[in-house]
Amino acid sequence: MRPVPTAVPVARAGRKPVTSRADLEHVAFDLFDRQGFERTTVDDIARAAGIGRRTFFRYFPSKNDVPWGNFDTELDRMRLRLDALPPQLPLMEAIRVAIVDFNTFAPEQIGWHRRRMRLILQTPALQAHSTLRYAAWRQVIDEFVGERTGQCADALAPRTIGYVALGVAIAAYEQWLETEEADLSNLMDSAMRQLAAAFAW
Amino acid sequence: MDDAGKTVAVAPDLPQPAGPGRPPSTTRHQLQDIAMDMFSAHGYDEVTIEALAAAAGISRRTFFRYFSSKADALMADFDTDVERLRSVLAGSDPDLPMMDAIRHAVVAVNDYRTDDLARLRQRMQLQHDNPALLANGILHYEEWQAVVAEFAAGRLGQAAGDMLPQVIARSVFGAAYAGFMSWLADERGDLGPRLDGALRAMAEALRD
Repeated sequence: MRPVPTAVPVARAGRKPVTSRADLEHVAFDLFDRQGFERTTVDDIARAAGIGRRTFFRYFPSKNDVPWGNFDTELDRMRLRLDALPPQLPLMEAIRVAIVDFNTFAPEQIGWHRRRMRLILQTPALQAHSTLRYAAWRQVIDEFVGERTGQCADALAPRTIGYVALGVAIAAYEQWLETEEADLSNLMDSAMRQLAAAFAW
Repeated sequence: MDDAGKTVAVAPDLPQPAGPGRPPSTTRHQLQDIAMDMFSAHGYDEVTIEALAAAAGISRRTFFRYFSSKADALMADFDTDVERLRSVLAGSDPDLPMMDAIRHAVVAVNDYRTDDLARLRQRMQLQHDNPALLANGILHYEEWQAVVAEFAAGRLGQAAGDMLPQVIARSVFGAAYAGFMSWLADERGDLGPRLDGALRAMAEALRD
């Protein structure tokens, strides 16, 4: 009879250590699935990835940051995308295009992204940390709206649009997580359009 | 020691829960204020339910008749607002466009008096400083959004879990929250006009 495997697979001698942030993230996601987010430590993740604790922290500042991947780089992309849109495109159209683009993933990434979003939206221990990441996302929208409308990014209207856009995106994500076969880009697009239609009721 | 006897001895002016059923909301409110002051003075993590109950002159068991957790003690006023929002929305004029009805209800419910505004500010600060309080606050915000989703679903003839009611609930909450944060940031003027302004800003952006 084989021994019962321990919860955390120990890297065997000669195991190839992970060498990318994406691979480290995937190792961590598997651990979170098996033993729960809260009960998984940075040491568990590092051990399973065949790397040291110090190396882990070169990829992520904390365990809470693992589900967010390279979010900051993505935010930079969204900022560039917004700035490159034609100025005659109406404000909310521009935001819709940028949000749909931000949330469009290659087919081979979509499964990982689903696991990522399930972690982010459904792990109670992550909620407080998430508000910081949401704030960074909203800031990109706020700055765009401020620029477009000639106001400070923290004036009432830009700030409101930032929160509204985030609310719409989260609503779309919740629908997506409930339906296995739904297309995320279409849901994002539809959520933004439906909100505009709500004012006709 | 007998719960009631202890209560009377320590805090004679604290109203007693009247038998089974929903406890009087004034006492929930008073307990919330005690909790808020203790959390602010000593830090949320340092205050035990025992200490909270003792300060209020009630037993631990009585505390749990009002709140299901230490963090929930902070949300009494907010929970009251959620119920008021439900009833104001239910009584709104059916001829009023849906989004206008929601805007009116949100503004009507948030008619804080000056001393309550200080409490609101204090709660936001505590949530800002403590992840556990923030996480718990977010759960209560879900209730608020559920009330808006139910109202929108009724107007639209859809289920509350459908896409549009959910989009409306989350975006209205977002706009209202932006109004709150904007008002908290500069400490000027009344909250009501700020909430109204945020919800109108959302409407205007989507109309363009």
